[in-house]
Amino acid sequence: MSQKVFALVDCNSFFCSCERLFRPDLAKRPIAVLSNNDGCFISMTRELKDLGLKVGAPYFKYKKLCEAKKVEVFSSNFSLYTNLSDRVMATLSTFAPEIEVYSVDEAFLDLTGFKDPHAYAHKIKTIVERNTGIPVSIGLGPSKTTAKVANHIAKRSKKARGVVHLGSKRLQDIAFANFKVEDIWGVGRASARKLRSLNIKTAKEYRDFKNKRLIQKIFTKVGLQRQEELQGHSRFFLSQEISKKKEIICSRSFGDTVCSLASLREAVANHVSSACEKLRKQDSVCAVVEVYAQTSPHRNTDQYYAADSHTMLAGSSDTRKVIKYALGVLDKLYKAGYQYSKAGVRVSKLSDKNKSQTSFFEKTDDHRSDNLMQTIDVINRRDGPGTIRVAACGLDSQSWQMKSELKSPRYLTGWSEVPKVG
Amino acid sequence: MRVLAESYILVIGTHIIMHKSPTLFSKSQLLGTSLSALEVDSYSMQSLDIDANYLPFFGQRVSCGLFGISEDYIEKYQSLDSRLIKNKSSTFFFEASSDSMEPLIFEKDILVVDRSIEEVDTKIVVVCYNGEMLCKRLFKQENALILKSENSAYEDIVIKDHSNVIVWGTVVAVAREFL
Repeated sequence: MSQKVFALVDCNSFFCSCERLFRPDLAKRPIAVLSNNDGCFISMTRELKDLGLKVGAPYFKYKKLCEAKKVEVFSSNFSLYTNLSDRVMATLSTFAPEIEVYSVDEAFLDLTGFKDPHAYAHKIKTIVERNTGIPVSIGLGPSKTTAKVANHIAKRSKKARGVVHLGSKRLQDIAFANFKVEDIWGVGRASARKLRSLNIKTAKEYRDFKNKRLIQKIFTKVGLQRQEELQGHSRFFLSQEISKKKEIICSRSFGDTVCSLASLREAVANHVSSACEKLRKQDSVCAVVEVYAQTSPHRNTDQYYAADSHTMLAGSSDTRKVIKYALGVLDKLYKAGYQYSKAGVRVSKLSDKNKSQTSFFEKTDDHRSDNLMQTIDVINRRDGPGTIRVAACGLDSQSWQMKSELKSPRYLTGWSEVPKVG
Repeated sequence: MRVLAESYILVIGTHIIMHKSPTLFSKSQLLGTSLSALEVDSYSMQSLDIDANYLPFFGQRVSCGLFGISEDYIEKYQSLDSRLIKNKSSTFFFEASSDSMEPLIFEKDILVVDRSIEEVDTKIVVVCYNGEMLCKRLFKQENALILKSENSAYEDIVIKDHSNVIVWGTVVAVAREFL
C-alpha cells in the first residue's frame, strides 16, 4: 500500500480574518476578537501574538496596550464566522475525496495518491483565499499528527509561504527536533509533564523513544498510536461522522453582576432553554441537569461557588420540565448577599430519544410535548432565538445579558446590514 | 385519515401528506422521511426552515381519494439563487451606496459578487482602494489599473501603485426592487 498523505488546512487567525474581509481599511492593522461578554481574547493576529499577548488573556488587563498599539478590537460575531467557515469547508471539499471538518477553522483532507501533494496544497491555498477571502495555512504529512506539526510550522515560517510538507524522514527529523512535546496534537499539559519526566522533551525524542511498553503503560494505547503516527504510520483516520455530544454545557458571564434570585432564575431558565434545544437537535434526552452559580474570582468581593444537580428517572428534552428541575436546584444552592458573575447549566447522561429508558415512576416526554417543542424550535429558527420562550426566561432586556459592545455588522446573515460599496 | 376535498396529496414511501396549498409540498417532501403522522399542522409545515429552492415540486392536482401521482411530473421551482449564483461559497452580496455607476447600477441595488472569477479586465468589480470599497469598471493597462465610473460626472481613477488596491470580486448580476 502506498503511503498516506494527510493535509491539515487551518485558517489563519480565523475570527480576525473574518472581521477583516469587509474592512479593507484594516488590512494592515492588528485585530483582536473577544469572547462572549467581551471577557477575554479568543483570536488575534500574528503581530499581537508577537507582542506576547495570548489567546485566553483577559481583555481588561490589556485594554490600554490595545489602545496604544491601535488594535481594532471586536466582540465576537459568530453568525459571520459560521457563514464563512461553511464557505471554506465547502470549497475544501471540492479538492479531496475525503475531508474531516475538525473544527470551525480546521479540516483534514486525505490527499493520498495525488501526484504532487505539495503543489496541490499551494493550489488549494490560493483558491480558498481567492473564493472565500480567508487566508489558510496547510501542513502535510503521512499521518494526521505529522500534518498537525507541519501546519504549526507553515503558520510561522515565512519561507514556506503557508504550505509545509513533511514528506521525508530528513524533513521530519529537522521539524520534530525543534518541536516541543506539549505542542503535539492531543498531548495535554498532564501528559507533557509525564513525558518530560521520562526526559522526552521534543517530538523527535517521543518518536524515537524505545520503550514501547512504558509508553503504552503510561499513556495507554492512544499514546502508542501517537508515537506510531510520528514514525509515519497513519493510525488516526478521518472521521466524517459528527458524533453526538455526550453532555451539553450552557453558561455565560453576566454583563453586570447579579444579586437577586429572580435574575439568576431567568439566566438559568435561558441556559436550560438553549441546552434543551441543542438536545432536541441531536435527538437526545438528558437524565441529569446540573446548575452552578459563582461570584467573580477576579473581583475583590466575597466569594461563593455552588453547584448541584437533579437526576430524572426518565430522560427528557422538554424545556418546561428541565427548567422546573433546574430552578429547584438553583433555589436550594442560592445564597443572598453575593454578587454573582456567572451561572451555568450542564445536562448530561444523554441518550437517544427513541432508545431512552422509560420509567415506571416518571412520565417520558409524550407526543404532545414533542410536537410543542418541535413547533417552538421551528418558529425560533425562523424568527430568531427566543421568539417563543418559557415565561421563566423573562420578558424583556435582562440585566444578566452579555456585553458585546464592539460587534461588527451581520454582513452575511441579514439584508439590513449587507456591506455597502461606493 | 380525514381527506379534504381537492387537497394536494403527496406520497413519500408509506407516508401521505396533504394540504390545500401546493407551495407546501416542496417543504413537506423533506419532512416526509421522518414524518409518521398523517395529519400535519399547516403552521408547522409553513414555518419549517428548509430551503425549498432545489426541491422537486409535484405539480399535479388530484381529487381526493386518488393516489396515483406519477413521479414523472416532478419539476424544479424557478429560483433566482440558482440563476444568479453559480458558485455558492464564493458569492457575496453588497448594496450600492452611490450614483457613480448610473445608469447601470442605482443606489440601493443589490450586487451579486462572485470572488471565484479569474479574468477581471473590463468587468464591473468591487475593489478595495485606499481602504474603501468601490464598485467600478476595471481596465488593465500595461503599467496601471483604471477604475471607470459609468456616471460621467465621476472621473476615472488611474492607479499606478498596485499595493493599495485589491480586486475583491466581480459583479455578476444586479437585483433591483421596484416596489
